[in-house]
Amino acid sequence: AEFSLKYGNNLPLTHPLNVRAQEAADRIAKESKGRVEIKIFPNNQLGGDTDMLAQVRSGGLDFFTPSALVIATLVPVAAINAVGFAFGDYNQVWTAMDGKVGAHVRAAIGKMRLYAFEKMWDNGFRQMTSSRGPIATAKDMDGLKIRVPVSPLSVSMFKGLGASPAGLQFSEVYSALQTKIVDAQENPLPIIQVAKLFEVQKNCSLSNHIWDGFWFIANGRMWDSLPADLKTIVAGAINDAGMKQREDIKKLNETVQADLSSKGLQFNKTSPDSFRAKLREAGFYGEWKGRFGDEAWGLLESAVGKLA
Amino acid sequence: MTPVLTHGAADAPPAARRPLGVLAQRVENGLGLAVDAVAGSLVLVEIFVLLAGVIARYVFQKPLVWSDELASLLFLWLSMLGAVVALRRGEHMRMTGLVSRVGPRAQALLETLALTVPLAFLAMVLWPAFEYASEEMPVVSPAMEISNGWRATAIPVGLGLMAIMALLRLARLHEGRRIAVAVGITAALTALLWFAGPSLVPLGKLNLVIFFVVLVAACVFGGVPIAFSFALATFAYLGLTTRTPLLVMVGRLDEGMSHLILLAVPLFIFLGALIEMTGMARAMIQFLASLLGHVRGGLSYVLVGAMYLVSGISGSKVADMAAIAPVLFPEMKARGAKPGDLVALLSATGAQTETIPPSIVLITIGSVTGVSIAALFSGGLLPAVVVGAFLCTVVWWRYRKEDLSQVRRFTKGQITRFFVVALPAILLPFVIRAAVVEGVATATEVSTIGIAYSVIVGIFIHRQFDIKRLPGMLVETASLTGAIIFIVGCATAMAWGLTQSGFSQDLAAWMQSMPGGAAGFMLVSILAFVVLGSVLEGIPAIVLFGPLLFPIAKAVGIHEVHYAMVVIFAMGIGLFSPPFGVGYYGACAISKIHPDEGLPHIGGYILALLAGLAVVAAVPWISTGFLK
Ligand code: NA
Ligand code: NA
Repeated sequence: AEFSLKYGNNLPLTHPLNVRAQEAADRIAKESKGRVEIKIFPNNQLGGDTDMLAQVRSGGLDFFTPSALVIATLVPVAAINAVGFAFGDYNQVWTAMDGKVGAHVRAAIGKMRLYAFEKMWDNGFRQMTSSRGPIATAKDMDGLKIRVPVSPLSVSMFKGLGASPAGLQFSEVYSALQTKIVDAQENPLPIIQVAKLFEVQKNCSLSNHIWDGFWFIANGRMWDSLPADLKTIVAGAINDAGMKQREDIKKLNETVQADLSSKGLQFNKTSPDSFRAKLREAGFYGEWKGRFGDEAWGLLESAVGKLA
Repeated sequence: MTPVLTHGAADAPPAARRPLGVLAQRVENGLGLAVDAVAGSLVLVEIFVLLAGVIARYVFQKPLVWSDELASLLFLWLSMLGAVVALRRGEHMRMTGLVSRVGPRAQALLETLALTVPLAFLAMVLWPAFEYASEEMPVVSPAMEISNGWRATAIPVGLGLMAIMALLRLARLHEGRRIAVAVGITAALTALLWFAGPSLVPLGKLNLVIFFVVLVAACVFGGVPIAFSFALATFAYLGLTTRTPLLVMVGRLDEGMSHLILLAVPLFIFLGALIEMTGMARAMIQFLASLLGHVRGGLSYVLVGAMYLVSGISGSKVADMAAIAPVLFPEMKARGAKPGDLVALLSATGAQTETIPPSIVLITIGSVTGVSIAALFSGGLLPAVVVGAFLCTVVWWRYRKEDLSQVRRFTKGQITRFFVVALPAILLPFVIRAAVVEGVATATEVSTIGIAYSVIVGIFIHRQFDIKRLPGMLVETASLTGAIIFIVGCATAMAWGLTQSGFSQDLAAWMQSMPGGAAGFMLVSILAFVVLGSVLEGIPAIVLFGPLLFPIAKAVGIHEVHYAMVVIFAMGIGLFSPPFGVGYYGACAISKIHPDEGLPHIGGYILALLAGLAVVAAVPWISTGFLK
C-alpha cells in the first residue's frame, strides 16, 4: 500500500473498539482502492499507554486511542470529561463531547502535533466494586482503600470523598483485591468482566462517578501528508465506526451487567447527590475549575449544569 | 572461585603502563567512583521509598499515591547507572564459548570488538536518546505531577556514560593497533549494512530472520555482550528496513526497564547479600546440610524445593532466583558442587516454577484470553510438581555416585541445635509469603519487608552486622541490576521490532493449518512457544499469541487451563535456554557464574523439562483435575 499505517490500543481484540476499528480499516482499504492500509495492534502489543502516546507523537505509531486521562498527561484540559459526577447520562456526555467541550479539547490536542478525529469513542461510565459491602452514599466511601488509575483528577476526587486511593499497577489489581491489599477498585463494567475481578469482589455499585472515552488520534505529520481525498475517506470511516462503537458499548453494558450478576456480583444503584455534595464541601469542583480554566469549565457547565 | 563475568580473559596487561592507559585509568577511577556512589545510594533510597509505601498503606491505612511512581523513576536511573557500573567492571553478560576456542590473536581481536561494537551502537543511539528525553519534557507524570523529563533523562545520561566508560576501557586495556583494526572492522560492517539497507527493504519479513536470527547469533557467539547484541540488531532492523523513528526504540528501553515488578530484582539481590552478611545464610545452610548432607545431591533438592516455595511470591522469575541463589550457592560450591551444574539447575527451576500462583504470566493469560484466573491459579500447582519431579530425577542420576565419605553425620541433638540457630532464617520465606498472602505488601514491595526483617535479625539476634560492607553490597547490587535490567530493556525493544512487523497473524494461521487435530496442534504450539519464549520472553509472547491461539485450542477440544499450562512451560523452556533465552542469562548473572559454564550441564535439565512437559501435555488431568 502507498500508506501503510499502524494503529495501537490497549484493549482485547474482541472489544467493540477493535471490532469497529477493523471494520473501518477494511472500509478504508476498499474506498481508497488499497492506497491506505491500517494494521491494528491490540492489547498493548506495542507498549503501555504512556509509551504508545510517545510513539504516536514521534511517528512510531500512526494512530492511537488514549483514554482522556492518558492523553491528559500531555494535554491537561483533556481530563475535563473525567470530572467526578459531572454527567448524569449519555445524552449529556455526547452533547458536551460532540459539542463545544469536545471542540475545545481537540484544539488543545492539535497544538501537540497530533490530530484528533471528531467523534470520541466510548469507554463507558466507571463503577466501583468493593469487598467491604455496597457503596450507596458518600458516607460508605469513608476510609475505603480503593485502587485507582493514578491521575491527579481521580486521586483528588477520591480523597475529596474521604476514601484512601492507592495507585497500584493494573496487573497487580487482581491479586491485590484477592489478598485485601485494597478493598475496592473502580472501572467500566466490561473491564471488570474481562479482568475477572468478580472472582475477588462481592459488590458492585453503579456509581457512574466518571465517564471516560477514547480520543482517536493520529500523528500530525502523517495526517498532514495524506492527500485531501484520502483524509476524507479515513476520517469518514473512523468517525462512523466511532458512532457504531458507542451503540455497541451501550448494549454491552447491559449484557455485561446481567453476566456479572449471574456470576455472583451483587449490584446496587446509587444517586449522585450525596457524592456531589461531599465533593463540593471538600472544594473539589472549585479546585478543578481553577485548574481547567474558566473557559473550559464554562463550556462543561453549559452542557451539564452548575457543578462548582 | 573468581567471578568469571569479566570482559576478557585476554585483556592485555601492558596497556596499563602506557601513558594513555594510565590517564584512562585515572579518569575511569574518578568517574567510576562517582557513578558507583550514586547507583549504590539509589538502591538504598528505593528500599526506603517502598517501605514507606507499605507502612503508609498497611499501618496507617493511608496509601501513598506517589510512592510507586517515585520508585519507578528512581528505578530507571538505578538500572541505567547500574549498567554503567557493570560496563566498567566488565560484568555485562556474554557468551565466550566460541571466543575462547580460537587462537590467541583472533581472541584478542574479538575481545576488542566486544567493546567497539557496543560503542558503535552507543554512538548511534545517543542522538535518538536525547530526542526522546526532550520529547518527554512536556509530559506531566500523573502522581507527582512533575515533568517526565526527570525520568527519561536517565537514558541519554546512562548511554552517554556507558560510551565514555567503553572508550576508557578500550584505551586502558587494549593496544593501539588492535583498536585500529577493531574500529576499522566495526566501521566497515556498519557501512556495509547501511548501504545494503535499501535493497533489504523489499525482502519484507525475511529481514526478521536476517536481523533477529543471523545478526543476533553472530554478535552473541562473537562475544558481544547479550544486551548490546539485541540492541544493535533491533536498531539496525528498525533503522534500515522500516520508517520507524529511532526514538521509539529508546521509548521501548524506557518501558522495558521501568516495569515496577522488576524492582523486586535489585531488592532480592540486596536481601541475598544481607542474609549472607548477617550469618543467616550460613545458619540455614548448616542446618539443611546437617539434615540432607548425607543424601546424594541433597542441596540440589533444597534448591528445587526453595524455588517452588518462593516462586509464587514475586511473579518475576529473575527476582525469584535472586532470592535463592545468593543464599544457597556459596555453600553448595564449598561442598564441591560444580558451578555450571548449579546455574543450569537454577535456570531449569526458573522454567519449572512458572505456573505457580500468583504468577504474572497466569494473570496475563487470564486477562488476554478470558480464562478464569482463579482456575489458572489452582490448575498451576500440580504441573509444577510433575515437572519438578523430572528435574529431581536428573539430580538423582547426576549425583548418584557423589562421594559422601567426607560428609559428617550429625546427631539429632546437633541437628536440633542447628535448627534453633537457623530458625530466624528458615522463617524468612514464610514471613515473605505471609506478607503477600495476608495483603501486607505487593509482590514488588515484599522484599523490603524481608530486608527489614533481616536487618533486625542481624543486629539483635545473630549480632552480626558489618556496616562497613554495606557500600560494597549496594554497588554490587546496582551493577547486577544494571546488567540484568538492561538486557530486559533491550529484549523489550527487540520484541517491539518483531511485533510491529505483524508476523504473529501469519504464524497463527499457519499453526491452525497443521494436521493432526488436538495432538498436532498441541505439538506445534509447544514448538512455537519454545521459540517464542526464547526470542520474545514470556509475557509479550502471551499477549501476542494468547488471543489468537486459545480460541483455536478450545475449538480442537483442548481445555484452556490445560493449554495454558503447556504453553507456559514451553515458553519457559525457551526463556531459560541458551543462547537466546534472557532467563538463562539472568540466572547466570545472579549466581555470578559465567554463561559458558552452564552450557555442558543444562542439556540434561532441558531434556527433563521437555519430558515433564510431554507428560503435562499428554495428561490433561494434571492441569484440570483440581478445578471445581
Ligand atoms: Na510464580
Ligand atoms: Na529472549
